[in-house]
Amino acid sequence: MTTPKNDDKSTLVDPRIAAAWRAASNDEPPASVDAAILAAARREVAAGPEPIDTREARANRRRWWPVAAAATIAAVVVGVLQLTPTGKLGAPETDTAVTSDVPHAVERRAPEDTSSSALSAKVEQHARGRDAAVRTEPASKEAQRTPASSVTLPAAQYPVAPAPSAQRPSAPAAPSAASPASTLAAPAEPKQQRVAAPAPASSPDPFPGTQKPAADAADAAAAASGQIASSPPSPPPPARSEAAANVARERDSLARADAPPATLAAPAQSRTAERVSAAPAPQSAPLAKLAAGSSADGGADEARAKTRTPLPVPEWIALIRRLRAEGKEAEAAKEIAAFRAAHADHEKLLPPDLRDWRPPEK
Amino acid sequence: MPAPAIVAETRDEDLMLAYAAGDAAAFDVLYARHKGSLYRYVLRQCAHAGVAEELFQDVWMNVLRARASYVPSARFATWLYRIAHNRLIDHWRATGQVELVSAGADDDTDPLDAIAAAREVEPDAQASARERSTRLYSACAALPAMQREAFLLHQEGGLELAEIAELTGAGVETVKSRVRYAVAKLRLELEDLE
Repeated sequence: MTTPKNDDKSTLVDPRIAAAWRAASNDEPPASVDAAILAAARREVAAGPEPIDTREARANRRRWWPVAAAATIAAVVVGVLQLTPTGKLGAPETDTAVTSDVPHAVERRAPEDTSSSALSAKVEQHARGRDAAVRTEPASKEAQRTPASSVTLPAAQYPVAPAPSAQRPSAPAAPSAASPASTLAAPAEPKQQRVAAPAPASSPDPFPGTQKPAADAADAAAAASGQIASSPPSPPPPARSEAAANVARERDSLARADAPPATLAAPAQSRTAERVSAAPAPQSAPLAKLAAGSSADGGADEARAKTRTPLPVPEWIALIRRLRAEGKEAEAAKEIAAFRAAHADHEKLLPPDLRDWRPPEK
Repeated sequence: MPAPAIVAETRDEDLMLAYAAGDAAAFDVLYARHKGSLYRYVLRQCAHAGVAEELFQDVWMNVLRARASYVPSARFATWLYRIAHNRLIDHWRATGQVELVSAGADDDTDPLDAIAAAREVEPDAQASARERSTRLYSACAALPAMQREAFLLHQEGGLELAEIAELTGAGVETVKSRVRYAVAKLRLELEDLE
């Protein structure tokens, strides 16, 4: 290869032409062009590829970006959950825990109390079912099927509960107090039964003090529902308002009874069943009808008012006076109305101050 | 900046690699080695010095931009003159002189007529070396484009026939013929001066 190359050079390059060309080839680029090119070369080097360690540092930073983004999203989600009201997250036990004296573990099983519309529907359905069951089944079976109410559950939670027999007086009206309806309505009228102690079976709570808040709450609810109906306590017995109060109590107790029975409540349930089975069967039928709702006519209301558990006259009057003294005008009016409905000679039995008393209209 | 002794022994390819790695001084050496020959190569291909300067600068800018992708698969001079060749072709296409390039491939045209005409234009050029150079350049300019380019690449760039053939995309024998024709015509031009 070199030989032909030398041949090519010897044949191609004429020494005279080469010398003449070299002598003539003295052209050079201008200095400005040289300076521009060299400056551009230095700029290119200065702005050249960045060092490797810088690139690695940037890559390391970018490696943390997904983690940082995930952490930010998690923080936002936690913040939103913190700000969201707990009622919207499906935790209704907080509402019931405020107004109930029932232990927390029991209240968790009855979250349906919060919805009033669903409660009304359940009350209606439950009352109808109970009414039908009372007509067709013996009272003992019906009592055995009665779920443990929230009132009897605390007794189950305190198995060493002493029998509150000392607090119970003679309890002459035991048959009606031992009825299932009375058990269900126990939260609605605990004060009557605490004062007069006519219903030992419906209040087996060994710690009556713990039941008082619930009783007050039930009284308030009953008063709220009863005030509307019985605000004009006319001289004729307001059986309608009494019926409305009873319905409210029934709704409350039935809603609690709708909760699935707790395993801890088994002894209390059995005790309640025993009491119910010991009660006379005919007592449960009108009381079951009482729970049938507020759609009944006036005659039915009077019947319900008459079936209300009567108190001894002195105790009843004492109760009414105490309610007036406590400022519970609506409750007092209801009690007077019930008293009048229960006693035909109420004009003679009532003292003058109660006979002519009218609750102040709001 | 590298030591002069080392720079003198360093190959063009190594200097270009050094510059690609960030050594600006290597480019200074490289530029000093090739700027004259490249400038004359471009200048002899163009009719105007200003255009030659512009093209010359463009060629070196292309070298700077292509430094990262430079691979010493061939001589640096071959790579450099290929860039210049392509830039000249772009210039000719832009100025409508592409037909001249293709016409220059026609080796049958006799350039001696053009050289004689140029000599008639400047009858006093034989008196001095300057005039001889002018006639030489005039004779070179009168050469067909392919012959002129082959001659310039061979004479100014110092490229071998194979390298010229690779650069221009022609055969080695074709390149050899072009160079022979060019030298013969220039020799004829210079005979009168001797």
